[in-house]
Amino acid sequence: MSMDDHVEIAAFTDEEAVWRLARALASSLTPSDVAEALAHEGGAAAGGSFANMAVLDSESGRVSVMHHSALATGMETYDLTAQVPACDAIRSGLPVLLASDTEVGDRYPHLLAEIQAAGLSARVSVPLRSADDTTIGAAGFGWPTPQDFDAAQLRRVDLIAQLTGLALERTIGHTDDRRNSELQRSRALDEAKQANARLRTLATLSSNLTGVGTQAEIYHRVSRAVVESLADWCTVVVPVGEELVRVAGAHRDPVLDGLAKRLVGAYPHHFSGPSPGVVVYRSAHQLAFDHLAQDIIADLDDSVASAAYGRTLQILGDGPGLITPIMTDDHVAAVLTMARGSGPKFTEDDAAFVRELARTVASFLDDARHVETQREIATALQDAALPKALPSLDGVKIAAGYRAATAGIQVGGDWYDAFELEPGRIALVVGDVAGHGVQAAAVMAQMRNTLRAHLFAPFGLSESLTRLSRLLATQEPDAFATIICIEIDSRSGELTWASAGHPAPIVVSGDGTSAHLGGDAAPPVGWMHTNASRQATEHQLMLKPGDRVLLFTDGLIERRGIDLGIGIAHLMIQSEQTRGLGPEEACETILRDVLAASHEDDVCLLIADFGASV
Amino acid sequence: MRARHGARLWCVVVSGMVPPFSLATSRTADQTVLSVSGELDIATVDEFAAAAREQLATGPVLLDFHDLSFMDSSGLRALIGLLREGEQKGWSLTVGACLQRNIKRLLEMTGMLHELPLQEEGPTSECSRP
Repeated sequence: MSMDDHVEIAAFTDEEAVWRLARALASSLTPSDVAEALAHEGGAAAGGSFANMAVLDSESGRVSVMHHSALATGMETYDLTAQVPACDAIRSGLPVLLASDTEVGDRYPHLLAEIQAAGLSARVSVPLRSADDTTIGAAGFGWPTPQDFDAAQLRRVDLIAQLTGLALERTIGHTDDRRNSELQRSRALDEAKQANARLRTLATLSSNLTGVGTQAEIYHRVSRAVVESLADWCTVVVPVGEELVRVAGAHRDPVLDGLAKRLVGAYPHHFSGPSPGVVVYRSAHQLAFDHLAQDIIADLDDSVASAAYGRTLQILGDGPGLITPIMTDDHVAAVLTMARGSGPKFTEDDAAFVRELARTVASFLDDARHVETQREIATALQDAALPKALPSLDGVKIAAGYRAATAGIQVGGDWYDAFELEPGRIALVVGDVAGHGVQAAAVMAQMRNTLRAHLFAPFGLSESLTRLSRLLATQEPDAFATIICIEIDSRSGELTWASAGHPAPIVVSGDGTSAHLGGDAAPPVGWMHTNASRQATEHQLMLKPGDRVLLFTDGLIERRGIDLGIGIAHLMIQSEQTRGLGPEEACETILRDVLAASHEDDVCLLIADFGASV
Repeated sequence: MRARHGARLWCVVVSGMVPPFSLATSRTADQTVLSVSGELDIATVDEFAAAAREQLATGPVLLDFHDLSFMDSSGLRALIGLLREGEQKGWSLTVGACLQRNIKRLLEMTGMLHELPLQEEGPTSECSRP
């Protein structure tokens, strides 16, 4: 036994039962002796009332459960595939934790009666491993009452399993040397299986990361993939300023997963600090740890926040850990931390696999970063082009809302504008440049300013649109845009509107009925100027006090597989339902409703209430 | 997306409920018919435009949208682009008049329905769709 093991056992000096077990195991000569020792002392050592041992016969694939002779049940054997805790623990290499008989009933309904008859409620099965991490059996424990399984208790169970595993390996070696070659063969088989599983993990991850447009989502998916295949918990930190900030967290156990997620954004590590993550970030080298949480905690200061962080890590699981840099070009883009609550250390194969996984992730980060940069530029251009404030005047109250598409670079084409042409006369514009991204956003900004200038000139609605079309064709021959312009006289209520390929306005009257204004649409700007017959018609109507006008872009009415007419009808219903609300509130409500349905495109909505004082 | 990542070789193509986008060409005595089915949107529009250009360079083309179920503004943009380019290069481009209701409504709303060189008679003259 190494020095480390002595230190660990010393931490339990107050636990007389653990010492008794250790002595009994030390004097065991056969696997039966080990089973006897565990059955006699293991229950008490674990703080429970029951313990037994299962041994895997790698030759036959049978698992023998050896009970305390006093129980008279003797020995039962199962096939390794059997749905019992011992076999599940051996197959998965992970502890099976059942905190109460309810959990026993959920997972092993066929065993519930037997376990209850034995006077047990909580049950645990832990894999037993030899010194080289081969699973050779399982230790089972039982408690008469439901258990919380806090970190200290799990560590104690783990320690007992370590001691038992070493004793079992030693006694198997005594009794059967021939088995060693069999063990080696089955180990080789296991390795081959593991290699296959790893390839599958990488393949699944690659397909899961394809087309993901944000780095945050990539890190989230990677942490999920890690806990589904390699480790019990996983976090990802990225450098922000002078700190490493956590951007993803996951745990294999759905209950603890919530706890891991709470680490996101919390407890950043300053570059000057000694945390293992910072060491890996600075050195760009992968590091492995026997007890990762302990090592992290050892470096923490004594603040309250650090104590909370340390407790969280212990609950997540303090076992072997691996910290790996994710490199893009020559930089560490992120640091991937993973750990097992217990179980084998990460092998060199594991470490190499995680490095490969990090390379896969890095290749996707490049793309996501490119998309994000484009998106940022487009959004900035758009923000700069949208009016900072809406005009306020007596008689017409205006509200506007804009939502960029949520994913990728599908941003930048929509805009709205509202300004006073002369006292008492207001112009409202909603437009949509075909295409997305930086180019569309740049064209949009240019068109918005030019149209403003034309309307101020004043060329009138139709002429302004035709002139804009001509300009667009010379400046951006491949671009086109749909635009709706309206003018409202705030005293008389006269409304003039003209559309270039854009959906006509919806008008909701004071009594709550709505109408979608009709009339032939002219073709879009960029095409309409090529023939005089294509000019936009100016339509007129008189608004009554209490009327509300809505201008919108196609993102509000267009859905895959749904007729545009139905999309418009839906928006009309929403307009009627929100008629009682003020314009800002109505705008927010309608946009929220649309966002809840789907959000592939930008959406833009402009509302004007006639006969409303500011 | 660039194709240099070896990891992408594992990518799995997921087929869902979306009708697949496809292009098919057939020849009649006097023109090539390019049939477009499925959804014409940002993901498929480049493929459509490239195929149309390739055929238009060789002779008269009829675009058959009989089985086209969805078109967004990027599809419309491609169509307008083809019309513009065709005016300069003297292409002979017509569009089959049989259109699904959604496509027709989009073209009406954007003022483009009467701009298209629609061809009433054609290989898909029995327009069974609503």
